[in-house]
Amino acid sequence: MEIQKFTYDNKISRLFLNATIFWGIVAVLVGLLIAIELVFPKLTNGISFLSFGRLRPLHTNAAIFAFVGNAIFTGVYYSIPRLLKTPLYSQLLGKINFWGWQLIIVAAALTIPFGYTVGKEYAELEWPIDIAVTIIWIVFGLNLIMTTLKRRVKHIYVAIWFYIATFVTVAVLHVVNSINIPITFLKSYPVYAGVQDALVQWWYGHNAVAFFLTTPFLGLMYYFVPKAANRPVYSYRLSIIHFWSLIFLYIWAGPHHLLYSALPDWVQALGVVFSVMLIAPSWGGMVNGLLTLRGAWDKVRQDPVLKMFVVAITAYGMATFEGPLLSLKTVNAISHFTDWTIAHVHIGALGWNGMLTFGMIYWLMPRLYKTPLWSIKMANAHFWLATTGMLFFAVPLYFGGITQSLMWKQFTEEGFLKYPNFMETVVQIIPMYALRIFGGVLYVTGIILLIINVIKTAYAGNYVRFEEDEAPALPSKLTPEPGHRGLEARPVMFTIVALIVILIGGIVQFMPMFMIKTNVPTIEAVMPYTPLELHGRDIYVREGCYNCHSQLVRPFRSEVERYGDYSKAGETVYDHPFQFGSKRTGPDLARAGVAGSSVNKPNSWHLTHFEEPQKLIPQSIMPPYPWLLENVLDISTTAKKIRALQYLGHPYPDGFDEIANEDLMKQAAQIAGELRSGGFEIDDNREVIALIAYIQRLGYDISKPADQISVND
Amino acid sequence: MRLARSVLENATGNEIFAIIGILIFFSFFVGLIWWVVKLKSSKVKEFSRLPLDDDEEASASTDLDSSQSENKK
Repeated sequence: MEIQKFTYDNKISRLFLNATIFWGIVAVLVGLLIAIELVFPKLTNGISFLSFGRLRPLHTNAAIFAFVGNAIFTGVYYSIPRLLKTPLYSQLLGKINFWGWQLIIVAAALTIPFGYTVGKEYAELEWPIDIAVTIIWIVFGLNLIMTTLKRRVKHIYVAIWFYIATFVTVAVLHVVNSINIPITFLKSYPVYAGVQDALVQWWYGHNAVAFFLTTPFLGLMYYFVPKAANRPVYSYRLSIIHFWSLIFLYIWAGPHHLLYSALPDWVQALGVVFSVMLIAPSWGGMVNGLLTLRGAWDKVRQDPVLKMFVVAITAYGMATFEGPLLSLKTVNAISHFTDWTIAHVHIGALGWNGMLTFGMIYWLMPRLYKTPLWSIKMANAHFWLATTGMLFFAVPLYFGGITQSLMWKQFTEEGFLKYPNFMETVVQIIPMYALRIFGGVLYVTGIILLIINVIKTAYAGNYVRFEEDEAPALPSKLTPEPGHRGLEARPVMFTIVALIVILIGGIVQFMPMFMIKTNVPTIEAVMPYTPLELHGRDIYVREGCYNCHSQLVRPFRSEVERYGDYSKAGETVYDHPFQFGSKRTGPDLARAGVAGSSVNKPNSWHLTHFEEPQKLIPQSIMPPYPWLLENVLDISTTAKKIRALQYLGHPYPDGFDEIANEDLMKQAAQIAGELRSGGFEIDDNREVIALIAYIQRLGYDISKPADQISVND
Repeated sequence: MRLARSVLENATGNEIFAIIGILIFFSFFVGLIWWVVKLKSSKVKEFSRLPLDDDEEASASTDLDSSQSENKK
């Protein structure tokens, strides 16, 4: 058989490797800053783009798409040509992928802190950037699939299956969840409303974890762990079962983020069942990864790369055991909305993604520069800093999360809430927030050591851009084989089958939710927002209030007692996007407009509270929002917003868009007038007036007298 | 679409979707196991060595000895 010579070009991998390190340090520093803000809320006093609500989405996006995203591309562009014995299909597409992705990250950094956001977690980017993401993602996928088509090996190694599933699924998730109606160049509304939007969002959010933070990294694990240990994967059969079961099951599990919510029970139950089943393939994968190191444990003791891989795979095992645990309704009742979730995701991000990435970088550097790593000792120090940093981060938050949740739920013997004041439960866990900062500092220090080590290694060696290899040519016509073997030989068919597998779960859950009316019972008393409230809602989204305040009262005695009536699906039909939130750093606001609720406050209270929360609640950890009292509300977009919502079926009368601003000014004058007569100096046209109007509307509709409400079952 | 809508709107009890979901996965999983068990051992061994074929060295992942001696200098 003819032996062909060819070269691998390391350029794209090296570019992505540098970007991974750069964005990695940015992501953790932003994380560190917001962790400090929770202990010192007035740290960035009055600087809007540095407030917690604006920066938290920047941190999550930077960690997921910038740090992990670039790490994925680094490993994928390095491994696919070598696994397929062929140069990359197109260096140009690779470069477009690289620069396009970096531009998207820069665009995210220039929009999210300035309040340009859709308001859905990890999907905050506005529509023009969403389109750019789609295009660049397709460029990546095209390069991936085309490279598999010109390969010189018959079998496509399992790592590449994970890459292909990542490409296909992320494409579907991103497109479906980002269907928005543009209002302006940087403002849009999701087409889905309320509980339906929540279902789509958490189908996306959960599977972003699955197919962006997990499957591509499993691909990297199946390539780099055998390489680093210099032995094949423990069980290749297990890796096949791992792959197919994982991609099949993951896609169904999204509703576990919405337990006890207004989502229909059958969708919640389905989410739980599939989440529990996920333990099997996840742990199969973990065992497969760890057992690959059988007989190499002596090396693990000395080699920082293998050490990091072991901690990464163990963290994967911990996180994937904890995930199904958290999806059990009884556990979720305690964990949801608390710091337990934050601890859980950081075991995944700092342990699984972080450690696998660092291990990969330490493995790649000596190969890209043909020189030993500058300092093994320093890499070992990084290993210990990262491991202890992760534990100092997570353990206090587990403790804090459980403590706070139990305090929320505790009743006195007389049957009253023991801690009716939400602030008491926050004060209790502030020391845990401080310990988390210490964990973050350790982790950041570790990355600084990595940066020094990488730079020194690069200077000590010579960059090897091209590497020669040779392999027998693949016969132009492969004999088709039945079953899985046949599928592996046809990458395009493989991609389609993977697509079908992941679509099944989505379709079975979505179709009934969107088509059967009884799944979202309507409530006649619930009316669309007034134009002023609508602007207020957009400010609520812009400031990222959902990062700390939920709008979902779960049907528990402790929550109904604290906040008011539990949330119904029909209340949310005019909410684009939904604002259920996922964390209660502050109290739930779904009943903020209901007289008698503990979260219902007069307008004057809100005005003072936004200006400086500590004036009213000295221990509050909410940052001040002085700019809301200064900024003039932009009402030039009112008509466009009303028309977009009319298009989506909101029953505003015909021609209302033209007179909406008159309505808006009337309502603003009334609220501001009342405030002025109470001695507060505030103009009608300030943003804070709109935000107060919105907050006073929350839950108001269903608190009207019972004879005005009819539930259409 | 209209047909699907009319079928779904008249469906009694949404639990059927959950049962359908489980059944689809169960059959998929059984088929998968059957596939994997049928794979030839020699082939499986060959596939699992794919990442290692291009290895130029058989040492540990980082060149420990040389790096450590470098540090001592």
